[in-house]
Amino acid sequence: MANVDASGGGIVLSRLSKSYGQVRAVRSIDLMIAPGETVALLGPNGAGKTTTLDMMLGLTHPDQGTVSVFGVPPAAAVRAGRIGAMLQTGSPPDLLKVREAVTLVASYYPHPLPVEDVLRLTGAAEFADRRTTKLSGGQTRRAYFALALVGNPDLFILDEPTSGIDVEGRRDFWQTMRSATERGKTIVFATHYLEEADAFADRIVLIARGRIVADGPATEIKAQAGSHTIRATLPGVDVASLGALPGVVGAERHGDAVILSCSDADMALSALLTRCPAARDIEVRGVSLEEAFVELTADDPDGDSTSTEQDRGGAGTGEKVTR
Amino acid sequence: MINTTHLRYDILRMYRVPTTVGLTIALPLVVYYAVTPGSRHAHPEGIPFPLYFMTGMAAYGAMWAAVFPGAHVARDRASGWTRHTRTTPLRADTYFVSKVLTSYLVAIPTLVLLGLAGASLGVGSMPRGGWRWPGCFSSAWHRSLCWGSPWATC
Repeated sequence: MANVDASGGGIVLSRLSKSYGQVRAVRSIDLMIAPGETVALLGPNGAGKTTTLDMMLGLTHPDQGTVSVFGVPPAAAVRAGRIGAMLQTGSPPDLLKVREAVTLVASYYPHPLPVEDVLRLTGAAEFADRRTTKLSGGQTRRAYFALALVGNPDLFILDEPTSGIDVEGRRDFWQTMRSATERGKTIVFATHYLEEADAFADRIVLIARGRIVADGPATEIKAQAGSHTIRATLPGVDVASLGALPGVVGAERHGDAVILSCSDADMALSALLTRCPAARDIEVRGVSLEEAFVELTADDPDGDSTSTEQDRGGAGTGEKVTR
Repeated sequence: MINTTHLRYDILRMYRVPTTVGLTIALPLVVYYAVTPGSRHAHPEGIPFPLYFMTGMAAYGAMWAAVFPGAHVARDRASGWTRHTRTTPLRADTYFVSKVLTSYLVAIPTLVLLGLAGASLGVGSMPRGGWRWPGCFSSAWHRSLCWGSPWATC
């Protein structure tokens, strides 16, 4: 977990909650992000990613809980020019050329980067003399990124920075991002693309239904959902009892087949064969991040209740057998 | 409180909308030159018509100069730009003051051109009122602000 000193060197969210009417968008999120970390907030649509980022930016006020950015409230960090943001639906201002828009935003910040450098770094130089409304989708996001970069902020908050861009464009964007931001910059971005989170973040915070359901490097997230699955044809066996086998964290039945999510596939396999020698068509494989994502963010009817249950770190593990 | 770069681009954005140029500059000039020669010797309310109508058209152009920054406020809000600026150190009062100053400054070319148009029709040398035109213009200019962005942003 992040190493954040007591003076609040990074970003600290504590017991953060926000509701819109009946909808509880964010439910008591605790999160610490150390300076220099690249963190992905990953989750399905409506998970609460944008609301969380908006509260980090001071655009939305939490109902409960606090946000501290570099030891001060978000609004103070914004005023000091320490944050550069890309909003989900944001774009550069109209009626200006790209170079003009970047120059304009540079004038807001106390220590901006040279405009021409920013245009070159972001690849926006090639369309710097075009109007901001005459760009392709990928160019618009690049130009918008140039606006976030030119202020030379310490923290980037990027809400789905590559939405609407194709796979190649996304890779280009992140290469640019990497080369444009020196080491030591903190980056928090929201995405619902797993590969993007996996490829570009040091750490993934998985959010579902307004809660953090997993937090760690991609490998840890996979492990949390069970690192391997065993699939076997095994009619007429109680899945609940299979879920209790050593090394197994979850069991499901699909017709005659059972699927076991395993923390230790070797142990689980030998236990399964000892117990059910009749098992056939056995298949063992590693879990993809995508499966871990689905496992951990799966719809949970209990999640909508108003009970004050703990944030379920590693929710999903073993739940399917107990339900 | 005043960011000159921001102000410069606010004004530039105004002139990039053709309607703004048409209504603040072209239309008042065209109408002035079209109407005035036919009524040169009239004296509505005791004022020589060329001066009277010059002031009226200047006020008309200045009114549009004051209205358009308000439209740009709406534009910025609708496009999400206003929201984005809230993630930057730009202060709301800097944004607001810039729009008000834009109203003022964009009216100046209108007033200068109408003044020249009036001069070309002999306003400056007219008895009974030639000397009044600076006052008329000042009034047209400052009062045009009541149409302007302060009300749109409140």
